[in-house]
Amino acid sequence: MSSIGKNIAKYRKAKNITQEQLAEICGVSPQAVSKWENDVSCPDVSLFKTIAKTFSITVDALFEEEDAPPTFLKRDEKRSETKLLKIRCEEGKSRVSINLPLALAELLLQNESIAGKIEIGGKAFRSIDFKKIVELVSLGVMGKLIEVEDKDGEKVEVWVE
Amino acid sequence: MKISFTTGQKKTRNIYLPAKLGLKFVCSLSKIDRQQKKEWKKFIDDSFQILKRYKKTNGSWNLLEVEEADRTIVVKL
Repeated sequence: MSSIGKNIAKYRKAKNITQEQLAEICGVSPQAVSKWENDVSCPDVSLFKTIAKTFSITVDALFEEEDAPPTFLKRDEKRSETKLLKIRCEEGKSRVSINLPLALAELLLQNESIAGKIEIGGKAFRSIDFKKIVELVSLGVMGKLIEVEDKDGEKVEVWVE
Repeated sequence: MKISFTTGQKKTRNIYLPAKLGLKFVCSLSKIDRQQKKEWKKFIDDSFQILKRYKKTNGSWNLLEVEEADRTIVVKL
């Protein structure tokens, strides 16, 4: 059976993180990390979550057997159903806010003939590449993604929550 | 689906529609030509499933908010 120390060393190297960097993240000395990896000591239980997060693995993976495949956190397949793509168009005193579940935005983008029939906003809105935005979000990008303002005073903001 | 219309006099009228019917209503406001009806029907069905799943997971939210000088329209699911 593989030790926690060996797993820490394995995942640290796989992530190209030095012992010094891991020590800094965990708030311990580099010597402490070296001791963990050589099974001289064991990290404090409170650090397991931080270490797992640093390596993008589950805490369970720190305890896995040597020959078992590494358990990396997989992208949540349902994530697009829990995210909201928020679009706000402002022009003078008019304001339109659309809050679309990301999955619905993706569906719209797949149906260009339908998306083309929906008339929202002006030049500023049409200048935004929503396909690129959805791509970014699928990579895990969140928050305010774009803000466009054209010379006619139309302002468009897009963000993801 | 709840559609609220508020006028300049702050009078609000709410219309409550089953979500799928509401979607059809919103889509009917767009420029749909007859040849595309089938495509729209599939789109509405798929959208409805997505919205239903989203609401189940995340609860109610405002799908659309329109604010103009003298009126507001809010579509809530």
